[in-house]
Amino acid sequence: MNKQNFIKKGLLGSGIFASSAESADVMKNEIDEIEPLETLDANAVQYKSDQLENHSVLHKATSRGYADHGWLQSNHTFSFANYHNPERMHFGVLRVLNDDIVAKGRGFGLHPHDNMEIISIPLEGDLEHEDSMGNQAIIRKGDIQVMSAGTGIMHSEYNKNTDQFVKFLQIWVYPNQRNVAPRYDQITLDKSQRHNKFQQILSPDPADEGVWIHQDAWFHMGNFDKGAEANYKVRKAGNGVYIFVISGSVNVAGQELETRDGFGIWGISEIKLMATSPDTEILLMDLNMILN
Amino acid sequence: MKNLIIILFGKNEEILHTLQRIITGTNGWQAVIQQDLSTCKKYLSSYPVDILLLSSGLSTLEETEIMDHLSYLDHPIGLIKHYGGGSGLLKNEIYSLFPDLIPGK
Repeated sequence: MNKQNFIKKGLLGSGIFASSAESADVMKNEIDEIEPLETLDANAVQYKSDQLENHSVLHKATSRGYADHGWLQSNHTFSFANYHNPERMHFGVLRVLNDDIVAKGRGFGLHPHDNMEIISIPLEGDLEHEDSMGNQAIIRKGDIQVMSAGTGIMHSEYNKNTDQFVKFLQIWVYPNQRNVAPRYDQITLDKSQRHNKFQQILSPDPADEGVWIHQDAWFHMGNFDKGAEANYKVRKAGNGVYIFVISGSVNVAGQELETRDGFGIWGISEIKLMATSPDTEILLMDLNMILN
Repeated sequence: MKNLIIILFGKNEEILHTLQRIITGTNGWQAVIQQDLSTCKKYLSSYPVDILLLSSGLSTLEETEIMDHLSYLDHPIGLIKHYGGGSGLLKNEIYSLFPDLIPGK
């Protein structure tokens, strides 16, 4: 496949392409003969050649985009709002990884979402959620919340407490189909199930452990003692793995990671990790690398 | 800042108006809401549109037909299948099509 055709397929997969009468015949054929994108290529347009060769990408904590709105401080792993970095657009179907701190009693007023699987994981404090489907809930450390925004939903998120900050991860994953019916779910996880091992907290299957989303993705969390090791086997052939270190430090397949570092790797079927400091908390995301 | 005309084609009015507000907040950018396939096709054929943005609520057939329609136009139009419904990803989607518009460039 020549590079021009590859780029066209890659951008088509991300839903963005340029059309003109000159390419009309070719584009018509692209629409008539929809074929799945080749694995591994979906991220290639944004990565440098050495990253492609190693099938990995490292996002140091300090390299993230930073926004300070006064009531909200946010570190963006991938391009978001006014942070634009063409080398940080997504990792497979993982599009947003925001590390948010919201001031006491403040929050996001009513605002819309559509066509995204939105996952919120509180790290400290309590987050109060209300949405246009009538859901009203508080999520706390140890909980996980998911919204399939689909055809559209309005919601607000506020720091429930007036005496402390709330810190949480907000993660957006491209859905495997557009315009699904909006839905909401949240569960409380049993943290005892993730000591020195990974606990599944999200999957594509409503009948499986954790919450579920419209995408071939599996999320796990683990709390590790120093020296503890874990092997993770990729759940679906072709998926990549993105690891976010919530706290502590870890060696992943020879790569040292520190607190709030992110590391994506693909072209592997399993991955070895070893915590290199006490109280290491890890979010591991097993992700479809093809943008449908 | 380059002038842009963006067609927002979708069904969710709240989201369409949110997207329109965000776009028109940038000097020189205009956003026109279209909710009907036939009208949208006519508009695309008649006006110097820079981007067609597909918002939420469209059927698969509507998305396919409007994308197919772009192929037969005599002027190039960028296409965005928008995800998110608000301010988080919109500008990045536009900048990906028009990197020269990135502030500071």
